[in-house]
Amino acid sequence: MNLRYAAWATGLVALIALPFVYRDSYHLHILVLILIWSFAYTSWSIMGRFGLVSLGHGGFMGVGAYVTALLWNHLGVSPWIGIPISMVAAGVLALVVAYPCFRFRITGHYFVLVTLALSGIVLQVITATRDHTAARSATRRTAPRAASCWRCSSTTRSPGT
Amino acid sequence: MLQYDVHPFVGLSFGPITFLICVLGGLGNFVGGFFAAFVFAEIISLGGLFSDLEWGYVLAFAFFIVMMFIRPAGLFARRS
Repeated sequence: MNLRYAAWATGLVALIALPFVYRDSYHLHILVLILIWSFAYTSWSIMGRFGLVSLGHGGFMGVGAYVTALLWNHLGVSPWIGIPISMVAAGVLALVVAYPCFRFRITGHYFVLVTLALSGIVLQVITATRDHTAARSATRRTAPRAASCWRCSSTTRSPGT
Repeated sequence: MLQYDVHPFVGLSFGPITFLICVLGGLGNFVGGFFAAFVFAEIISLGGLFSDLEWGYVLAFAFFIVMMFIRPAGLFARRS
């Protein structure tokens, strides 16, 4: 049992240390994708354990990603503060829809469709406010060039240069 | 002239909304589905008339969610 914990701890430390010692962006990109799909899958499997199928996970992921990115782009808030704020925002959105769902006992196909419509709403709102949310707009704030991986920011080139 | 395009992903623009309309009209209710399709298209188009088309979709989806809460068996369902 102790050996197993040691193995888990070693793996965790290795994963945390990896971006400091290994800088190949393609391989780090693959790892980032693995982690993103992993947490999407984890949230879905938790829903499945409760017997509810949801198609709205993309919407909540979108809220989390966009709140973080927009706080950084427009207000300059560091993602270390933006990530908890975006988690709260996605949670509030989920609560607004989920409470009536539990209240009116929406299950089965109806719950699937409510969450599908919710992710559609998120998608269309982001598209409709493209003047503020467009990632490639000229107002994008340029991240610091020498960003460390703990600053949670990427070194993006500003569109003008 | 009215023109439509066809491409390999053309089905994706119909599938989810068709499913929403089916349930909005009541599963298995032909007339209800027809009426729901009319209502959905009107909401989207009127939203696009007064604002951007995307806000029409937002209105339609929000309408669908609210209708699921108050009339989950469809627009024409008999009250039980």
